[in-house]
Amino acid sequence: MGKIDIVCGLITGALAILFFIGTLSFPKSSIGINPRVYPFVVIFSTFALSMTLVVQGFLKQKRTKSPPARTLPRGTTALKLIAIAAGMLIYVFTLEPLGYIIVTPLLMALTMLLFGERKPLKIVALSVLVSIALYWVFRSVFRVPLPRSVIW
Amino acid sequence: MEGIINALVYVLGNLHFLIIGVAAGIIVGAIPGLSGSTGIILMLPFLIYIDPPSALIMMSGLFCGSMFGGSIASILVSTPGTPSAAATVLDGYPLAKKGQAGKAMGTALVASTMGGIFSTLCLIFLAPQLAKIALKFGPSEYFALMIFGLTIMASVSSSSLTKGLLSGFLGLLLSMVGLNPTLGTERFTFGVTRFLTGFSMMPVLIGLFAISEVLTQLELFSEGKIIQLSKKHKIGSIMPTRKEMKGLWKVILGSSVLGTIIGIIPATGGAIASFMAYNEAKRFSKDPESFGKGALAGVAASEAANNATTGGAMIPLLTLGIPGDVVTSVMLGALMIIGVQPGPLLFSQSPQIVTDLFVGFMLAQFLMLVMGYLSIRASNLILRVPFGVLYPVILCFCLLGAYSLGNSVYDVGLAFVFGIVGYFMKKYGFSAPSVILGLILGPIAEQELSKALIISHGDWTVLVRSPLSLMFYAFALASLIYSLGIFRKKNRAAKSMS
Repeated sequence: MGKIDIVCGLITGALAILFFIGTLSFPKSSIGINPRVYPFVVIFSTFALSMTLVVQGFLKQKRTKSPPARTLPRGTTALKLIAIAAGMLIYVFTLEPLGYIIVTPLLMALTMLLFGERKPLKIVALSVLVSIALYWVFRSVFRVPLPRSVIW
Repeated sequence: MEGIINALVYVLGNLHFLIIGVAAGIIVGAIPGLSGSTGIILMLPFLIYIDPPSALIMMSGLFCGSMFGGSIASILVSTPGTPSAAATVLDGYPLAKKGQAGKAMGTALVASTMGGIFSTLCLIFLAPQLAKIALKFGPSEYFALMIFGLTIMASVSSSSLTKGLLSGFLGLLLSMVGLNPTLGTERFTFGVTRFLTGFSMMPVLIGLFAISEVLTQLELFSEGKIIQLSKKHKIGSIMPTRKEMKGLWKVILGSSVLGTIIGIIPATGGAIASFMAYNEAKRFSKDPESFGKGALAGVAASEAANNATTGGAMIPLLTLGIPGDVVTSVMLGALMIIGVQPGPLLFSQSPQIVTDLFVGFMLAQFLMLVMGYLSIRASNLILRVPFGVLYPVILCFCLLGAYSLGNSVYDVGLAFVFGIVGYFMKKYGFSAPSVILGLILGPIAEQELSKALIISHGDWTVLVRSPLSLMFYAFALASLIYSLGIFRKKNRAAKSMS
């Protein structure tokens, strides 16, 4: 976990630096509080905490004599997580061009497969029925204009 | 009185929302991996389309129902449905092994209802008084109160103080993206036009809490750390007898008082209350040896206490806008999405909403008794919901929910990004509730600071002049010291275990 703490601390520290750079373009103001003060306090605290985490990570690494524990999922688990993340990403990019009713059953079927569902009829029936039911509720009852496709 | 009658008429006219809330709460509470906070997020797409008072009572029903629901899995499969039900395992599971699962769940139900009723009464009597005091706060007192609220972010983290605080500060960083609240000038948009409006609460909540949970459950499922339940459990008779209840009422009353007090204190919550009540019940019991081996008093103590925290936790949330635990943090975000701003002004400007909530909260306790009984009968069915159906439906619902508020694919993308971030945060011990706290309380703190300095013509000493402000700073310091103590204790326990 020590290595992970170092990496996380460096990432959040970099984010704090990015925000600090963002403050350089702030206009000056004479009303109430200087617009830089509050962001500075937040950015400085974030940076200080990030560096504390880095130091804690180093100390943890020094103290731990056993080989580092597994920090990232591997093998099938990693593949499944990548598949679901890719599925969601494709969903985001295809929702508008292809329409809700086409992409949602596909994502649901993929997730069912990843969660160990193996009966094809159940996967197809449930993913289509649930998607249509949600589409109907949100479109007809709540009047949410869900993206439509050329088919529906 | 007229307000109460109006509220009763309103709540009875919208009873279906309360029934849905309580039922959904019991179900999400019962399923390990889901919790009251996830339940509220899954309901958000519906909540935004109904009246704010109905949405509020639906959420309250869900909050109360989830506390009891957590006991079902604790008793039947020795896996707490929610962290608040962890103490229930100690005696609930041994009772189930003896073939008295129904009785354990029945006792949990009665104790939960009584704890809930007691804390609702406290909510009704204490909240308006506290709101009257809070109305006198000026910007500097409010700023100090927000600082106190922000220190809670340290304690809602489960792994380390640094990570808890860092998560909260990441929330504060995100809350600054968009426009400066005083000057209206652009800041931290990095040239992205979409960032001008900041980060919407809905996709952030859905991503950090619900989508990340689906990813976590997929990982656990893939590694065989959660197993689909297939075995039917024997339930047996449900309600405790009159004789058994006679021996339990003192425990239930004491635990309800303790739970309500702990609920009022920010940064505590149901898990702490239930373990404390369990220990106290054991300490005062004539038969402490029976605890841990299947004592009904153990189940009653932890369940009365965790349900009593619900009304208690609503007091600082409604009167000061400060959440006390993870569920109320999420509830605060949800309230802002549906257009209800908690705080003392809620009591003076929208008193009917508050009365509706009080009446709804009380009715939720009685509904829980009925629906809880039915859910105990159906508990085998609830616990055996196939993961292959549950999580895919949740995922699709989450993405649809993210789309529905702004009718925007950008929000779906945002929910996806925060889902991935939330998964890694959870995995590496960071705290998603702290991010939400920072995101919500940050802008209020900044606005109040700005107001205080405008009024005082830039004199910073205004922030420490009022005794009330000093009191809140002292509370903030005490909250941090308390969190530090808890984490040190945890670290020592972990070291001695290893």
